[in-house]
Amino acid sequence: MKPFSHHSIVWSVLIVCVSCVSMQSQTKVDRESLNTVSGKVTVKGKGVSGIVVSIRSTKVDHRIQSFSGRTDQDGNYRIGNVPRGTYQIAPSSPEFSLTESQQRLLILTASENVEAIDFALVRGGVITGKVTSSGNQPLIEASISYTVERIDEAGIQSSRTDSRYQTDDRGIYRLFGLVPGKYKVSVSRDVRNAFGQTARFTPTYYPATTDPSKASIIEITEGSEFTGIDIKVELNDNSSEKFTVKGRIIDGVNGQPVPNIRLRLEQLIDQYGTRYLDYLDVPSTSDREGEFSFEDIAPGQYGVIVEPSPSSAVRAERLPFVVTDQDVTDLVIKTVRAASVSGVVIVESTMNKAPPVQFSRLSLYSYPTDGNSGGIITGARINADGSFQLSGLKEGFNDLSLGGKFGRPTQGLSISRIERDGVVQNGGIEVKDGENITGVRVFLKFSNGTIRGVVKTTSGDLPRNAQVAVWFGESPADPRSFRASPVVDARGHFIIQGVPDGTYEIIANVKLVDSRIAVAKQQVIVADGNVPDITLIVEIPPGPGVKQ
Amino acid sequence: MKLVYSLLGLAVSVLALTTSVVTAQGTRPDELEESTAAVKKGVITGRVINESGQPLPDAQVTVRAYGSGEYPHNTSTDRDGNFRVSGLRPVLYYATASLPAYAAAPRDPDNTQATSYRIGDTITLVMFKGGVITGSVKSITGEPVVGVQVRAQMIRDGSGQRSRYGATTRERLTDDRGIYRIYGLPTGTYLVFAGGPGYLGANGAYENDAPTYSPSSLRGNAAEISVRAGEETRDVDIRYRSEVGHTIRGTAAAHNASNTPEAWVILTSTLDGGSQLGDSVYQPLGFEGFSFSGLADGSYDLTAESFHANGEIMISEPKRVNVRGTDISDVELITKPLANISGRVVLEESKAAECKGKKRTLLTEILVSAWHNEKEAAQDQPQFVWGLGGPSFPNLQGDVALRNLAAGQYQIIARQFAKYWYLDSITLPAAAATRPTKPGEPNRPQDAVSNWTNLKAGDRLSGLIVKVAGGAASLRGQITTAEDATLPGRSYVYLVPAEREKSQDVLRFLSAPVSPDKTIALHNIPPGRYFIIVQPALDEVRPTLTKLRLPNETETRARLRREAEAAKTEIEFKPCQNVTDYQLPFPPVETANRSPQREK
Repeated sequence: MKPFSHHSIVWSVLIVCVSCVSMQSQTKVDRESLNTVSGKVTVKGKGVSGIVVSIRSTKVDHRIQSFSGRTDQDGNYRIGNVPRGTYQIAPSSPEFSLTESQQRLLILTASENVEAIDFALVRGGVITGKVTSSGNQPLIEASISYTVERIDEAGIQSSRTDSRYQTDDRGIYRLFGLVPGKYKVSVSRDVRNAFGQTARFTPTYYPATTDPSKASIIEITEGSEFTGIDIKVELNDNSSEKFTVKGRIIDGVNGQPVPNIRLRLEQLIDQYGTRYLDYLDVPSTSDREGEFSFEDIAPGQYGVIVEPSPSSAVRAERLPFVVTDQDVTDLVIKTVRAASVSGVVIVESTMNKAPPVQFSRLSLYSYPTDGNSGGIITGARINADGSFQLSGLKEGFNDLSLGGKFGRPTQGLSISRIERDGVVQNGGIEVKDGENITGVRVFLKFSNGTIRGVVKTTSGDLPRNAQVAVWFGESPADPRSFRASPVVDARGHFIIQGVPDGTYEIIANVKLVDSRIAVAKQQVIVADGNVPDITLIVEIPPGPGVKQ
Repeated sequence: MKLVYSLLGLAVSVLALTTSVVTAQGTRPDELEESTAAVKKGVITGRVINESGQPLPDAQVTVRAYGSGEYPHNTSTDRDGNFRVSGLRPVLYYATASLPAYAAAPRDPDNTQATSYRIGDTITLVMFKGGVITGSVKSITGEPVVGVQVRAQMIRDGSGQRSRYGATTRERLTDDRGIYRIYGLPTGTYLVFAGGPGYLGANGAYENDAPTYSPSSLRGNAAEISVRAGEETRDVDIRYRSEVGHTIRGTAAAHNASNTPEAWVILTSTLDGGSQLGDSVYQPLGFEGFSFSGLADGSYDLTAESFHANGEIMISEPKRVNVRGTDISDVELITKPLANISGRVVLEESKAAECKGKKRTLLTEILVSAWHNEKEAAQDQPQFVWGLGGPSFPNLQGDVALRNLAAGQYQIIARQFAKYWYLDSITLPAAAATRPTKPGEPNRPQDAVSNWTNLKAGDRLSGLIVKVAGGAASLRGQITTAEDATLPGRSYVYLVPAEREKSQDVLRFLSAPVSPDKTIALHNIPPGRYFIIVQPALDEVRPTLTKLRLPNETETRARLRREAEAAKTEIEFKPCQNVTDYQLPFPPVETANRSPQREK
């Protein structure tokens, strides 16, 4: 049996435009469960006034809630009327930076008075300068990134990269709130905003090198300010040249041209060591001779993909190619007969008052389980009557997952099992090229239960710096069904969301700094999406050298 | 910096039509029977330049079909400012360009060049370096406020006109010194404020605060900041008040469903007039409602909007909410369907011999729009609703539907761009129009251009007929001024129908600006007899032709007719006739020779 929402990758792929707008929503506030959070903000051990400390709910179902408080003269803050939920808490003082290893996750379960959520800050450093091209023109809205290498109090070396900053209309940038460390600053054009076509220069490091190893290092100490960190960029004027890409699409078996196939381009973006595929909106349709062409393509790495369509009986592997300084004219795509899976979606509910389901707002996605699908996920709408057809499938095992339209919530539903001819399909549905499988039944379950709880020790709260992991599973007999709770905060509070009705076992694992381990177990029943808050009490074993 | 329209939600894409259609001159090859290579390949090319004609490289250009949910075609300009998109279908497109720190040139009402393009067209988009507002945000005690969002909102444009819906707002965060810098602003008058619910939402520290307007006030006493393109307005400082704003909570429900729908809720402030800076929140399906926080005292309208897979939009009546020192909860919004008008576009070929072999207009290149009556609509009601029902083009069979029209009065208008074709008439069954049919009067089709059509929520009107006919004529010529006469600035040449039976036909009223070198050009003229006259432009802001044809401008047309009749200059156009080298004396010879006595 396959519990819970199958794959979260689909989710992240589908979050489209909705995230560009601030979204809020609010459930009715339960007055009984309001919490208070308080603590102190210090710089060099002294309380600082006027610092805003904010609590923001993490993005569950697109809802963001925030609460804030301001520190008084002694650096103390207090935030009241916070409903239960999972939050990030942090001082909103970007000119300061946090000292390391401070837990910022906060899970508030019941009406609590949470105290001593303290923050120690250091005044951050500043780096500012101007970015100009070789012709002395300012570069406007170029992305500024920095890499910092530092050694923290515990002697651990770390490095991180940040690229939130941009130059303004004068080419000037200003990085602030920088933690002490050794910095390399570089400039690039933000490819994502530029349709992958306007990066007219390679990322350039201060003062004027494209080689990261030759970048000058700026050593930031607490509160230091470096001005005049100007970067000169060499514009590459050839990169605005564009080329034509042509090819043919033929039947992989008989070599005949395949007309009327919609093709699209993907561009491989490689920036700061991150590689990702950018879906370009450059369609082309093969003609009677199976020929297709894409015009005005800038130099870069690309792939041609056959657009999956419900009516298309063929599919093809992604064909990679590179555009350098001339037209590409010899691409050949070979098609294979695609498989399809059709059937019906059925909601099984044990809930007394199940909410109505709108199938037309849900989609099914199929993805090969071999793990290197090349990003090919086939999607299909679910019709109002629950029927669906997934086309363009690849030979092999294909697993299904459920998604909301446009990355929206799945109405609390997830796939509980998939049946083909009455047989449960573990590990996906096996399809062969050209095979059309019908009568597949996809069972959905409401999975809007939430299990909240806290891990404590027999002597009370958890010791400082204890590492806590919470696991839960459907049946103690099947360890494969166990998975980790995504969030456990420093106080041992945890939350498990999207749980279908059922009986579960919760296991808490506490690891102390000296490697002692303590475990506690508890069974919970989720019914109608509800479960009482639970407390798991671990017994800390006596440490070495501790007398009982 | 992100460019954010004053209203968010999916309406943005529609609003783009009215806001960032940059001044553009489209050039078209003359109408040949044979298609050019560019037409065959579905290509639109163009250039992005600054106001002095210099090419602008690296500008992002978006070419998008009107009235369709299709993906836009995106590209960028090369080092010579040129761009090209290909693979376009033969429908009508609009084009927008964006370049950091630059703003689109405002639409000149005297520029009659089309802002819709056909494949094969070459477009020039003009942008100029925008203005800058910079200053600091400090607390009451003088400490810099770091990481707060500062937003500039245009309230009046460069010509002093109140911003229409969809006016741009731009925002930036303050740095570690509390300094902000907002650039790329078009010329106009702005309000600048810090804090409040925002789109950058940096860290949530200030989003529950009521916005503080420069210098340190609520909206009512905000300073008006004037900005000129290419210039910097400095020291626009804000003393940040740190006042917690209020919250409005409520639920959006559909009129025909029991559960709460997925909806966008849009909040507009009545104070902000036509520009109506708004905030938009999402209510997920099945959840228990929406909330807005960080609101200052004032009056707001809340409107819920939900989108359907078939492209239809449901919308609630705007609900007026007054925030006075406390939070407000339990606001209920009920969404209902908007109105639709459907019908057909019919083509009528000209039988005249002169029109043989001339290129036909394409059905899909005819754009039909419904324009709401601005005078009748309340100025403080949410204005974004007028942008929901964008223009639409017919399918290959000529079927056309104008969807998502908010309740109000509309004029139906259509545009087509084939040289030898003209818009002949637009009619609706009489019952659909404003004027009620008298008993016994036959239910004749009514002119939907010269009459307003009243639409209520959920109306489904059918029987719209847009008739586009072949045989259009054109006129090119010159104004010849008498020795002692000077042509007033912003002069227009007007054609007024001379035939009695056409005297009320607003589509037979035509106008075009007289260019500085006194040349005139008129296209797509229905054949027939006209009076021709030179008169000043009709409006400061709107295109003169738009105003000339409005249903409630009967007096304007009557006056024009009286003066044109008095001037007695007539001209006749035969089907497909291209009149060139036409000389039009100014002032009209007849009038100039007339003595004052004779006039009595």
